[in-house]
Amino acid sequence: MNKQVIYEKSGRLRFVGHLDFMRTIHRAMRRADIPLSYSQGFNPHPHMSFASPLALGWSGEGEIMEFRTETDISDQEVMDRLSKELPEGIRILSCRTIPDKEPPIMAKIQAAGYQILLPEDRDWSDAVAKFLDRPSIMLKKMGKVRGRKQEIEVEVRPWIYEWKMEDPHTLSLICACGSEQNLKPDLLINELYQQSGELEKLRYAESICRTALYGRKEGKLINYSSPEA
Amino acid sequence: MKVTLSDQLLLSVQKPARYIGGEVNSVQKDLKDIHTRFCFCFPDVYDVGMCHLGLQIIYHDLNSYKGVYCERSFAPWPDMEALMRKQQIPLYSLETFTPLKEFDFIGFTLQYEMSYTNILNMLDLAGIPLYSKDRTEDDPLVIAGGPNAYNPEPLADFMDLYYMGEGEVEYEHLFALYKEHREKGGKKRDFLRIAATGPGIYVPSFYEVEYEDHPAAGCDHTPRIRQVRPVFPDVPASVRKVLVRNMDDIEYPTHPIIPYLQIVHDRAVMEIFRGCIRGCRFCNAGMIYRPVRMRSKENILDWVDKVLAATGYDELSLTSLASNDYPGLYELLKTIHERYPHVNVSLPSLRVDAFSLALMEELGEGKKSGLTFAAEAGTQRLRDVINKGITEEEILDGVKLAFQGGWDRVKLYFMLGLPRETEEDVFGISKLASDIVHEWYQLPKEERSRDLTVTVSTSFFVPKPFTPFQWCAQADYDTYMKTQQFLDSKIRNKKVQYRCHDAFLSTLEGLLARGDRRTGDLIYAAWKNGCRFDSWSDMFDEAAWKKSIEETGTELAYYNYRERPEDEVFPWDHIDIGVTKKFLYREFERSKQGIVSPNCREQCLGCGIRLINDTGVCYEKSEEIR
Ligand code: SF4
Repeated sequence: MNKQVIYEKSGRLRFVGHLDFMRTIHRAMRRADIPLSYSQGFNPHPHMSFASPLALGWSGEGEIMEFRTETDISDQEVMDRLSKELPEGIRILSCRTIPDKEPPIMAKIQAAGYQILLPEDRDWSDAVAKFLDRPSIMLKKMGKVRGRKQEIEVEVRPWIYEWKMEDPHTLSLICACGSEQNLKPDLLINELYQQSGELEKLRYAESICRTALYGRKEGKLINYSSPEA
Repeated sequence: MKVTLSDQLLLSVQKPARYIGGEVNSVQKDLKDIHTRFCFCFPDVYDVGMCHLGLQIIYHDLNSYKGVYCERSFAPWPDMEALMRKQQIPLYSLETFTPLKEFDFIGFTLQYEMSYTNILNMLDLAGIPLYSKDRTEDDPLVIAGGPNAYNPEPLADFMDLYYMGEGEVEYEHLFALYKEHREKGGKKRDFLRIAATGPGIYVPSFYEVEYEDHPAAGCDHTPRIRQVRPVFPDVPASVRKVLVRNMDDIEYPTHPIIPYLQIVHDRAVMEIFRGCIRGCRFCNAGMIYRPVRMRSKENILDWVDKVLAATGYDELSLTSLASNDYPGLYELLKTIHERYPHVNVSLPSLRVDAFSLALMEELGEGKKSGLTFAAEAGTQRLRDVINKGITEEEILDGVKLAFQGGWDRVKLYFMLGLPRETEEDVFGISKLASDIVHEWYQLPKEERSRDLTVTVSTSFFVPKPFTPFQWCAQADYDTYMKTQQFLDSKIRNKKVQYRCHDAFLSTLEGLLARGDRRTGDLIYAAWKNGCRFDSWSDMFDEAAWKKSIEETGTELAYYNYRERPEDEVFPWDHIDIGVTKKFLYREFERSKQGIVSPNCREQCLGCGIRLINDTGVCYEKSEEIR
């Protein structure tokens, strides 16, 4: 059986990196006696995958993982048993059974929503509007040119799909996330600091929450983090 | 007070998961039910400390006592230390983020000499005066235990008290006394008088060390110890270790804390027995953990069930000082394997023979990691001197079988600078390695592994307290290095790998291992000069240590290079581990004559421990092992 679980990652768990986090979940599943299915071979590993890794320090309100079980188990049972074994900071929001031939969630994610808390010492509304209203935003990042690693410039403005200032310090943003196009919001914010002359803010680590993960159907964003999707 | 760490701080250090606590199976208690708060301090970084079984044992045990709360703290990595100092964040416990200064007790475990500067650094970060004499009622009582505590003297000035022996035995009693004393309105510092008369407790400040009037023979200014004696009549002249009588009567940490962070040994651990029957003459663990005491198979299986259920680990390590010496090892493994086909079982310290190879084959283990032989010395003559009961024939037979079984990597461990070592013994190391390669070539191609790598690893021998070699002179730095170069020049076989390393750390280790109260000044100076994490090669500051040796006038001729006479009063003589000095000296004499001693199951050599304990290997013949 294939299961999809939507969960929240918050609190001290934000400081647990993605690999450590996966091992934490795997162990919780074993303690909960979920009949996980494993790959064959000398070094069997569980059939378990995560939609998209969450960077260190970020929280997530609608993270998604999938796994396969050896034998049938009800969704409620998975929720009940697993919830008991998870440490504080991981909370299961929903679990559902998905069809066998469904492509993995990892392949379907194309965008993510974020809520970003900017430094509270000023009103950011105008600066953000000025920055994001421009037709072009170039970001420097490490990439490969003909196999060699070097700094490259990437146009990211088209990857920003929606944005809104919730209050003078809180930016909501939906932007590209996935294996093909990916915009890391912390890099975008660093560019914002540079463009608005707030260079000393570059060392500031904003609080970032990934609120939802999205796919696309017929050009429209669909929210996979909501159980109804 | 509760320490809070900002997101900013946590995001600017490496591996922030070291500092957040809250792991699965860590213990939360309601502070209003607590009369004694204890913080277990491991003087190394979190990832190292959390691999340590002793920590899990003590944590589990102490937290099972009503009214007692045991928490944890580790040495912060230098990046974190710098930020803590800058932002004036005191060292805190991972369970409740309470500053260490607010605890009743803080307890250090002494596992290796090169962690001593970290202890001073942790005290300093906690805002606790480093010297016991400078502490007041506002400070916790600082206690230390663990294998290195049996020579308590180098850190004596920094510790209020020591716990001598196995942790499971006396703490409950100690805390009960503490509670009673405090309820009567007694002062913390006065508690030391009460504690000092109880079993296993050593309060260094109640003992006076007297030195001779003239420097020791061959030394410039360092006199020998004349005697150590208690300053109060009711304080015992010698402190005897406490030990567990029956391993099946004590609890096991069936709910070990599971770190978030990937640690070096990320697996469930089951201790199958304590102690070692072998009596290698260089080995400190083989003496201080005497006698060998087994856990029954039923108990082990029961605990394995519990540990795996409580952790979800898919790897299990059955630990002991020498796995093969567990009677019924095969049945035990078979049962575990049948119950948990998906759990990877490993056996550290397994001797290689036909039996253990079959075992490893069954476990589907070993091939990845290669075979390990702790031969320790290059010739039979020298192996007899150190009483390492492994013969060349056993090794060669073992590798032959292994090559036929498809193993293609062999690791050999040796020590350089052993007492009575000659050039021939060192050459013997390279010869043994070549003989192993030869053994591989001898086998027809279709019967052996496809390729072969033999890795030779050497460490420098360091004489340790409570071993027959405690009287020995330690080789000096130049001798160590010359011996190593000699070996390196002799290893010419292309399939044999060998890497040299520096010997100064071994010199220091030897200095601290056999140090005395005067050595405390050196540790303090080294800490002042910026030393910490000395066991991490990239952190080790050789120049700072050399400067500290200079500043304190510490004489290596006295501590390292001097062979002690039979009547030497050792700094640790007033600690009684149950194994007598007489026995150790007898073994030392036998080593000089190259006489091998039988192991405890073959014949009792009367080491002394059976006189203070009535269980274990010493009574095995009359006591049925289940
Ligand atoms: S008393 Fe005898 S059997 Fe017991 S540990 Fe000592 S030597 Fe071994």
